[in-house]
Amino acid sequence: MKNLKSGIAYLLIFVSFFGCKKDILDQPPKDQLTDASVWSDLKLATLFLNEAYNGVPSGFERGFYLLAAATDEAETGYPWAYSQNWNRGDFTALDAPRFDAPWGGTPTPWGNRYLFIRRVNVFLEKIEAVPGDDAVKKVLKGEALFLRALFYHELVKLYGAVPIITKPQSLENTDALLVKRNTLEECNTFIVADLDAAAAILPNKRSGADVGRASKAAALALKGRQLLYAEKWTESAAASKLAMAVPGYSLFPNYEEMFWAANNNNSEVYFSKKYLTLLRTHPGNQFNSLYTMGGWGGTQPTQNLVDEYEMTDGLSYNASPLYNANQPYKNRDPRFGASILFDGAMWNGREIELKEGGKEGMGTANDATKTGYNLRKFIDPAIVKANPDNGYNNWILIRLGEVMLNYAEAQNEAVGPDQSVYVAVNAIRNRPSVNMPSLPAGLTQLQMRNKIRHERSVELAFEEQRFFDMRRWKGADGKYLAETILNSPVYGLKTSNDRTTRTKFKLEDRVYLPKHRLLPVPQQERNINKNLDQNPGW
Amino acid sequence: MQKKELLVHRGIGLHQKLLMMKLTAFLLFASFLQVSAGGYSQSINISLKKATIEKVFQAIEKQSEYRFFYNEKLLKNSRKITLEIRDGSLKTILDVCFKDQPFSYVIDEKQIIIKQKELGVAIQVVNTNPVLVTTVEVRGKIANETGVPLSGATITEKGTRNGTSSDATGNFTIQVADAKAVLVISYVGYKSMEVSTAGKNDLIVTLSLMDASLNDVVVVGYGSRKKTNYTGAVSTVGTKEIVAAPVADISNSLTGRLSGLIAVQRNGEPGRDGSNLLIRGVSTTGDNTPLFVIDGIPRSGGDFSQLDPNEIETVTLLKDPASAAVFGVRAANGVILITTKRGKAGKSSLSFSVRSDWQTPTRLPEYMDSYNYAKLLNEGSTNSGTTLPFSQADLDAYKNGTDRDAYPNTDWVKATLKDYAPQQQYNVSLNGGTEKTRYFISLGHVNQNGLYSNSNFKRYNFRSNIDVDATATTRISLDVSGRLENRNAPSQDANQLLYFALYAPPIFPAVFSNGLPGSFPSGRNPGERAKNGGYNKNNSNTLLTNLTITQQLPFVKGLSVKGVAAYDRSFNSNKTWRTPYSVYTYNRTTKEYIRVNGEGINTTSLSERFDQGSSLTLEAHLNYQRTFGKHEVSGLFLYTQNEGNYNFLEGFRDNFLSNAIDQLFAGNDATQQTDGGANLSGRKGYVGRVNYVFANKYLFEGNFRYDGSFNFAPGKKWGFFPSFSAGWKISEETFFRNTTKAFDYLKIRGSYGKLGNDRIAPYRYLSSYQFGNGYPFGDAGSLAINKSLNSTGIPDPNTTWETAKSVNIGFDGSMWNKKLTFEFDWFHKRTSDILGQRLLSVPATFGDVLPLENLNMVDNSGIEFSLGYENKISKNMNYFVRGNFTYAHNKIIFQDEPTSVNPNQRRTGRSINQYFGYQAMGFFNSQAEIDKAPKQPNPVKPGDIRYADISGRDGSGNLTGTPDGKIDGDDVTAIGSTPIPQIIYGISGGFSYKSFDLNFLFQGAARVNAYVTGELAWPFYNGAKALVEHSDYWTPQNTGAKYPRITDVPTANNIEQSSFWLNNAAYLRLKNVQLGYNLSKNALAKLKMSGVRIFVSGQNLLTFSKLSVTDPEGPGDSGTAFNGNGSKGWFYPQQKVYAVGINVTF
Repeated sequence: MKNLKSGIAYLLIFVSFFGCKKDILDQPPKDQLTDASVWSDLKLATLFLNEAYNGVPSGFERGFYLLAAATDEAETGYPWAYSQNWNRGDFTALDAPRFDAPWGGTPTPWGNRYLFIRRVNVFLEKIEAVPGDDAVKKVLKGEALFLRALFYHELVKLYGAVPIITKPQSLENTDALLVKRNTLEECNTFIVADLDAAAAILPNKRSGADVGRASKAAALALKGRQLLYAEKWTESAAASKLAMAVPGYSLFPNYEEMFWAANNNNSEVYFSKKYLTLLRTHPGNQFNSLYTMGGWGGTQPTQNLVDEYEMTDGLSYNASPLYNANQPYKNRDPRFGASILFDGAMWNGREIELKEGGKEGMGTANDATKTGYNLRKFIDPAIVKANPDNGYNNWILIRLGEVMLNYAEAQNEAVGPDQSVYVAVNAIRNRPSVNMPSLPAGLTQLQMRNKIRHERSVELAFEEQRFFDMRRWKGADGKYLAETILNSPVYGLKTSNDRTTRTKFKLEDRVYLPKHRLLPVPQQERNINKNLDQNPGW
Repeated sequence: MQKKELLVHRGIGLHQKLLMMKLTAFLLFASFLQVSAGGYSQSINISLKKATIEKVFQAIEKQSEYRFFYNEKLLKNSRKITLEIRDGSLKTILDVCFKDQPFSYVIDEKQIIIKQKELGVAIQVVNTNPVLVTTVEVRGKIANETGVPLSGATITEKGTRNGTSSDATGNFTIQVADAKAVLVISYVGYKSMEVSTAGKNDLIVTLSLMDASLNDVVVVGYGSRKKTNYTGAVSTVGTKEIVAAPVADISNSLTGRLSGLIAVQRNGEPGRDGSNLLIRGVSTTGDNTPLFVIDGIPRSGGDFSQLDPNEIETVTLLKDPASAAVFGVRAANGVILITTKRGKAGKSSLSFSVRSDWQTPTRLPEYMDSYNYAKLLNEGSTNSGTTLPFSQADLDAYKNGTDRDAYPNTDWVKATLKDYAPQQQYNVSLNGGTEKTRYFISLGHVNQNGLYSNSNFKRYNFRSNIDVDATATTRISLDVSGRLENRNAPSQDANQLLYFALYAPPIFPAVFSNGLPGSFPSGRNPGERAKNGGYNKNNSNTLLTNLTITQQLPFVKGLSVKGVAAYDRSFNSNKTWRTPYSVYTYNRTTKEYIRVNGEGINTTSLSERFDQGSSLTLEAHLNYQRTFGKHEVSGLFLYTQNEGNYNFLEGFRDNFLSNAIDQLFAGNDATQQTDGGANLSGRKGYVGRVNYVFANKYLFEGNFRYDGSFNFAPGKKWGFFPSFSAGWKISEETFFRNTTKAFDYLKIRGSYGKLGNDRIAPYRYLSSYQFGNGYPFGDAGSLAINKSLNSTGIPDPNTTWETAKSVNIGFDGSMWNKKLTFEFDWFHKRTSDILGQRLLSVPATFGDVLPLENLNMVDNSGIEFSLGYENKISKNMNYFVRGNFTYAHNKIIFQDEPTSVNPNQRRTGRSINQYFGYQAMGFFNSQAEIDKAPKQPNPVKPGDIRYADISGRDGSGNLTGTPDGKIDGDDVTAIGSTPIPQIIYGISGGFSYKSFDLNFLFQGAARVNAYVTGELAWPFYNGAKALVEHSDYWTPQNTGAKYPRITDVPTANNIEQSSFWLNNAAYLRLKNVQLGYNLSKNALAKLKMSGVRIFVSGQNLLTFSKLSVTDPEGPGDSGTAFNGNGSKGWFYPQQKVYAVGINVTF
């Protein structure tokens, strides 16, 4: 009996071990947030949208080169850089060159853009039901629409017509995932509609802690650019005009310093990819700058671009009396000196010697210039001195200077060189630190077109505009300029050690075929989705 | 066969006699009880005068669970008994009562069967009149090798039936005929011994363990089994073998000891040098780690590998479904069961062991000196047509060595690594107790030093296992164990330091003539970094506890319940203090020593992390075990649940103003970072087992586990994992016995079952979000990283565990009186529902990372066997040889791959981690050969590697599978096998002669490749130095060279991923040797000690392998990701260990 009693007692103890416990199989995750929490709290929902800003492309994050190196503006310092695939024109739909990611990451901008488009679509779908201040929600929604438009704008620039996906797709119905490409017209309409909707609900300009978020001005400016690319001149001019009219923006007086970290968020910036010292940095300064000053010399301007810069009298170098072949860089458009490091330039407290046998002349190192020039634009001396691989100068995606040129181009095409076109272009030429003479009066539409094209080449050099401008501008022969210009060699300049002889030399032949106007739709994508047409020529 | 007798248990029922063994059966049972932790020591009080033997039986039955069975007729002639015994053991009482009776007894389980004595004996008994003889009393004590007293050992006078047994303290007294009598001493599981009594009155007898005994009990999940009756596939290794290896991490002592275990040791860093253990190899692309179960509770691999070897009783691999299924959803990769030692009743014994070791790398690459390096580099530059880096004057200066500051000749490996690193191990253990309370207490310490500064591992282990028989039917066991692990390392991890040492060219100085530390570009000096660059300290404290209460239930015979509560707690702190340090360069012209910051580190930083985890396991067991005639039935049902909890906190600061205080507060708070997080886990399981043995011949077992895991979606949490097994002991069959006498025992067995593997990321069914990169918003005044949230991907609501269906067929047995033992198993396992991604079906426009789904399928099959032979050559000389062999081969059956994939590159149908690359065909020996050959992927010259043209494409871009005249991506094909050996084998042996014994273990691996790349393969790669064997390079005169033509940088062609650099990494090692000397009994008696053993031993003493540049286990790239650090030699080298030690038992 004694045993029985103790046995029962122990059983009771065991049973009580287990009797009083919640179900331990229902442990909540403690290291992540779930659907239920994110979409019931406006603060968390905002964080979800914040992530989408990381999808905004940046020239500083392309790798060892700027996209400029895939045009006649520059040459990369490295034979293996992806820009060389463009210059050789030797890629296929199977191995289209990387565009966004420096190394690794999403190999094609196609996949990367749709990744962020999905995030924005998820946000737009879920935000309606999130409890919270409607005014705040409205602005967030506006930002989401702007970002979606930007991502599609980037896609259309590269691929032409793409499938428009406006809702997050579900895996339940895999057939519905095999989307077709919309027409270019539909894409344009869709992007414009998103931007119109965004402009309608976003504040004019963001301030304080919201600087960097999408604004009405940015939406209108992007709309102007999108319509310019679509050659809808009247609408484009109207949108750019509205964008210019948004109060609070003005041309930043110092052309060179506009791109330095000290002037991040300056008065000219409509939208930029933002950085923060130590915590969110980019290697752009290091990759692209002079190797003797902490850089790797990744982007090297060509003689082709150098020749584009006018003399201070507004004439091209080969027409101006101011040009002296012995001092070719004297009396140049100040934007030349602000953008390009040439032999003899003063920079970071000393004279730069790109001449033969100079401190940083050709052949002194693998990273030394191959063109005779190095990049100066964007390179922030303060960053190069301190910590070149931790750059925090913003990458400006849209600025007033571009908006004005967009306006001028659209207006010139729509109605001809009216006064507003002159005003816009001259404002840029007359910028305090530039001080170039105004355009001569009485230009024809064609003359004005060429003036605007020149102005874009110079004002927006290295800003990843020319790659696309070459693919939309046509010459007198009706062909895209890319077919001529990007199919011609690029040149460099050798300067003798005593600086008495300067020899222009052919650096590289370039190949551009008509099919290169657009990127091929990735073959892997077409293997999966039979409904996707390929771009012409691929 | 004897005729069957009817036995009556006081009229209740008739039972068939089961066993014919006599005393041995009892002893077997007694030992079974002890080992299985289910045995009870009974103490019985009897006070009777001239009573019938039936009265004695009644008294015993009242005080114990033993029941007597007998034919009443037998007792007629019994003599009356007078007895006065207090706290006597059953055995003592029975022996007294049965002395001079016409019958004897046999104990079977809890049944005591009375039977007639054999005829010859009966005749003796008939002669009941006591014959007066002169006797001599001999006293003695019996203990095992470690000095633990053996109670219940049989002592018989040789040639007579006169015998007794040892008491609880191992002591015995026996009356023998004369002083010349010889005693035969036997104990289950130990080798019998004959001892002469001549002139001795206080004998001390040490019995040594029998190595392969039929009476072995194997530990299985939630219980134990007689090995001969077990139907699953297990392999076991005991404390002796584990203790033999002079290693700190016991995972390194198992390699080659156990069939079914594939073990690879990838590096040798103190405290981080454990082997990767895989039971039956690799069977999933997911997590292949086995489940570790220590004393019945699932615990971590570290809880196992950081045990003090002296705490371990046995390590058992549960390999097949029958054995592992009781661990359900966590069992698919097999289970490693560890049982720790428990106290034995008797006089307490104190053991003390000390060992001192010297560790040295098994194999290091040998590099050229600076002169030969410079000469070779010049030669390479000549071949490449580049400027010669060294002038003749330079070469002369390197050769003369008159100015070593300007022209150094540095062996960077030597400058970084010391030749030897000491290691010590200490253990004190106390074992003993009374019949009611038994204890095992152990304290251990290991101190393992590394080959460079700041490298050290110290571990302190503590264990106290206490068993208390609280009542006659209740046992309470409390196990408490804990350990402190303190790992010290430089602030730079071992891989990086070794990289520097293996990279640095000899023309850079490690130390200048004036003692200043030198450097190679840019400011690197691994030895100096280790010494003065700060430290990494990792302190980990673990406490493991088990409380077990077992209660026999009196109302149902054979039924018991058990409750277990196990609570584990671990704390871990990790601290990395990184300080700037100085190195120097030398200006040859000015003869100045120029100070530079080592590796350019110019700020002091500190990061600290604290982790803590806890785990609570609660279990309720219901056990049933009973024998009905020829039917042995046992059953188990249990409920178990586990709750885990983990969290961490970490912080970082840099820009410390001073190196004086290595605490966070002293760093710059502007750049400080903190992080923290937590994980919870929960599991429940119901386990059932039914066991049935008929006639000790036909064996059946069924197991199931119904398992619930928190990992999965509601409604998908629970899974059912059954297994079945059966066995047939042919050797018990008459026809077999009649055919051959050679076999002591032979059994055929098979099992089938379904197991799970839930080691996948939890909560995959939830749509969840993690903090993303954040984004910096704000103007100059408010600029800050705003947090961002990122979806962790599309949830998979149907996500489930990996399911392994597995079949095992095997046999085991022994021959020629246990001289030869053998075991064989064949298995096949199909693992399905392995997580994999659908590659083809979803386009990128979908916009998210596809969820991993339970898509993939892998087959794994193989064989394993072990053989053992032992023999006694003479009285003083024994030897044994044992071998085991494991072969496991896996194949991916399904993985989503586009149909367009080149068949040579498909992963489906190949092994996990299969290597791919070009097929190398040797060297081009002439330009003519190059001109005729298919176009190689890069420009080539004579002396470059030639690749095979295997496949190409037709005009429309379709693969043709036939050569197309050029080598490109289409020619990449499967090469070699995998980085994990498919075959592991071990051959161990030993012999003892008088007081000496020698044991050895050879261990090998085969069907394994190592892709050697980077600095370890290519001279001057990335500016690195050259191996001595790089001098065997191709020249027109040396076309049979090992290496291609020499160039100042490896040519693009010669570093293509190809079979050229894939090495056969098969090896054979003298893994362990131990030579021991045991102090003689006389000496022991003088010292008042029960055992002293002195030994020398070694680990990894010899390695035979074709891979000459590094230890064959080292290169550890995965096969799919080439250029892993392991394959470049960036790992702390594996160690060879020499040891001396002494064990003392009081």
